[in-house]
Amino acid sequence: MILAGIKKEFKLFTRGFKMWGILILLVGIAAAYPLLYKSMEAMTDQLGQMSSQMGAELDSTVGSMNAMMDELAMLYGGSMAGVGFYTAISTFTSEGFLVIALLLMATAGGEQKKRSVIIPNCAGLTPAGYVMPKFIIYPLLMALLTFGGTLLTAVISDALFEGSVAMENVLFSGVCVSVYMLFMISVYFLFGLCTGRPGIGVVVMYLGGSLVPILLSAFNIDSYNPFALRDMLMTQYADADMNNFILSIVVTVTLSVICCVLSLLVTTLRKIDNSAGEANL
Amino acid sequence: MLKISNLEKSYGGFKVLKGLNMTVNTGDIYGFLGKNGCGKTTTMNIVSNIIHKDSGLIEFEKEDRKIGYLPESPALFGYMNGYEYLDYIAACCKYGGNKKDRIDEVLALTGMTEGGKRRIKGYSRGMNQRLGIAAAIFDNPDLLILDEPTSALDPQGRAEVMSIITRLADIGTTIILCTHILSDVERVANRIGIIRDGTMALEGTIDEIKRQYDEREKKLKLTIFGEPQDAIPVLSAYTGGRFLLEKRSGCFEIPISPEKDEKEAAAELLKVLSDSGIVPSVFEIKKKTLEEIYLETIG
Repeated sequence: MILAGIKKEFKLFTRGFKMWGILILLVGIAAAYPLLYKSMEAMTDQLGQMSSQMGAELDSTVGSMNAMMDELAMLYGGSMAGVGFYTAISTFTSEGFLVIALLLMATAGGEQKKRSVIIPNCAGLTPAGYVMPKFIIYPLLMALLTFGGTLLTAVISDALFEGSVAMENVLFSGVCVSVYMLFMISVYFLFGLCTGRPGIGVVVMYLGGSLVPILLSAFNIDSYNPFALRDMLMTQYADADMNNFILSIVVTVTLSVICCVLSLLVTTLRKIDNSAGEANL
Repeated sequence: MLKISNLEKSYGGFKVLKGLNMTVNTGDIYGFLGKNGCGKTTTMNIVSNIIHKDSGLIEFEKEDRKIGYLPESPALFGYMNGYEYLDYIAACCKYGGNKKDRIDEVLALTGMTEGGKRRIKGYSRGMNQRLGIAAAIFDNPDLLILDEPTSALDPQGRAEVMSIITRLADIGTTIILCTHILSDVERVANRIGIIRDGTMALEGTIDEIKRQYDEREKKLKLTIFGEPQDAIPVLSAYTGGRFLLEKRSGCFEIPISPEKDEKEAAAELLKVLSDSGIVPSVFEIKKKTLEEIYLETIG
């Protein structure tokens, strides 16, 4: 039944707009930020050329913009490629997650409202048969896709700018993003499947993604949690705390598995049985 | 097969079921009738474990019974085709036999052999109903619940579904048929239950119920050659004014006294008409139709 459920969820994902929507989103973000900064660079160059024609009038403006971009580049590894790369992958974890969650609303519990689970339930669909395929397919797929998005962002950034993002930094950030997304999607599905209200789950997750790290910080819990991975994705590989990285991955994956188990538990407890058992009729 | 005792269910402040009692015997085709919003679908959803009951007992003859349920508007998986959907249903019910053969069999039974190759999102409502029936009967259920199975179908489609239901009953499937279409119920059902105001107002075999009503209230139905007005003075004198004339059809209904035998009363009236020179064109003992019983019961 679980295998059939996996096939079912895979068909649902690939045959509708969900897969294409997520691919368009990831490609869009991967291209948008490098292009944005490239256009800033191009604008600065254009102003520079105008300045040389018009005299010293625009010199200070051009100088300020160049200085700002240099400082920005220094923050992100020394080149504008880094700026485009890191800002894009940071967006994967915020607005990117929001759009992905909206696209997956139906499968994250929204179908319970539409009642398309009635006939499979009556046929004998078990909580495990319902929950586990979703936790097998979606967190893993989203992790893979965001990892792919990270690589694509690096390729685009390297193509647009002089200088490049080092491969070890790309892979390091890619792992941070993908494991973080695996966790966020797992929590989202926990909320949606247990309540049947994924829409509220989207809001809770989006706000929680901002508020929970602040709370953890207030208690000096800055390491060994999923949000530490989100902080680390902007870090160079050479400067990263490897203990924090590895343990955060372990904790995040463990928490994701716990989300699956909790979903299974709640769904099993919510299972309805109105009959009194065997009766002498 | 199934016994429901004192079932209660409320939605917020509105009580839909107020102590419903219902018995469905093994092998029955049970017509479950009632007005819109009276609680038929709620009852079936409770029996199928889709929603909680507030109180009451639901008892089955077999602990490991299999229930097949076709809801009123089956929401199927539009991204699959019919074949794939039934393949998934087969996995859900852990079908032990040859899955492919069984899928072909139920698709053929429901007239969906060609339709099974198409995506469900392109189906008509009638095709949705048929595929829903195919899924409901896939694992040869002990109890099959059909909620308005013919509501979206054309007359040919309805006839086909009724024929499927009869075939299933012939092989021993117990069926509960929730419907507004009384002709469908009369065609296939052997027992009915009419729900009113959240309780069972009437339950029994159709023959039994009709016999009870006929014993309580017997009538003679009469139309005559010529104008109906010609018979009015004669009938007024014979019945003391206690008769009805339906002006559109020109049909008289004359009640028979409970003490009188139907045959005696018919012979007496025929003599009265003959003596007055009135020739009947239609003369029969009127039995209550299921529709009349239903309308009288729901009020």
